[in-house]
Amino acid sequence: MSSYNQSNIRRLAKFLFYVTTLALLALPVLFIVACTQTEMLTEWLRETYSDYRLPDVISSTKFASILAIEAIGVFLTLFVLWQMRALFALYMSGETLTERCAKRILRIGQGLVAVGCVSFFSKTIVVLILTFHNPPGQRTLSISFGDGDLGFLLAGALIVVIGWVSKEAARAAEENKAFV
Amino acid sequence: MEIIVRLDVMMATRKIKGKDLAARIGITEQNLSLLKSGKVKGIRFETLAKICKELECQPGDILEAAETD
Repeated sequence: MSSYNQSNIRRLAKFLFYVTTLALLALPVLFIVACTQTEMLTEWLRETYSDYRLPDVISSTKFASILAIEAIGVFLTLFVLWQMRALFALYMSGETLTERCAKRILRIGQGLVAVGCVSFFSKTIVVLILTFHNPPGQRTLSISFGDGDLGFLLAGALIVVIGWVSKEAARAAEENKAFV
Repeated sequence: MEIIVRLDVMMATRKIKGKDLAARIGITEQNLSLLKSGKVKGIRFETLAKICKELECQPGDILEAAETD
């Protein structure tokens, strides 16, 4: 690998390492703050699920259930950010084509696929929770597949493939090292 | 059948030090040492050609195929 390319990788990896660290710290704080803002959350729920017949008052039990479901998505996003941070730390130290990097890339891809799946199922469950106590005939089971879900799934699957390819590249690089 | 590296013999014949040969062929002294001890998976034609040029010899003077016990 050329030294110019390596210095570019190190420079960008250093910047992204700090960005992911900041996001890792900010995301849980923002989520916890958002959990305490019930009025804002109610507004957000009514806007997001405006196509469905929502109850006039959303009970605290429903709120807690919805937040628990959203927390799964947040937790998975934190997992992906943690893996990204670890990968950028490796790139910063000059380690690129190794088994350790490939493993991190693979986990990032798997994490993104999981985020896409959770995002897909969480909408269905949230709508079900919100309309569960509606009179019979007004309860809704909604199954929708948005651009965002597809984006996460495709990006995740692509990164999983890149992870496998990186594993092969790491093996080839290791073998190449044994040649003089 | 195994390949035995006779580089140390050739270097002694030509009276050249490992440090000098490594510098001339553009590899590290550590890699040259690994090559001399046969602790490498292989040698690139490019490296072999440079060694042959510096030591004024043929690949057969450096590498030898021998029966394993």
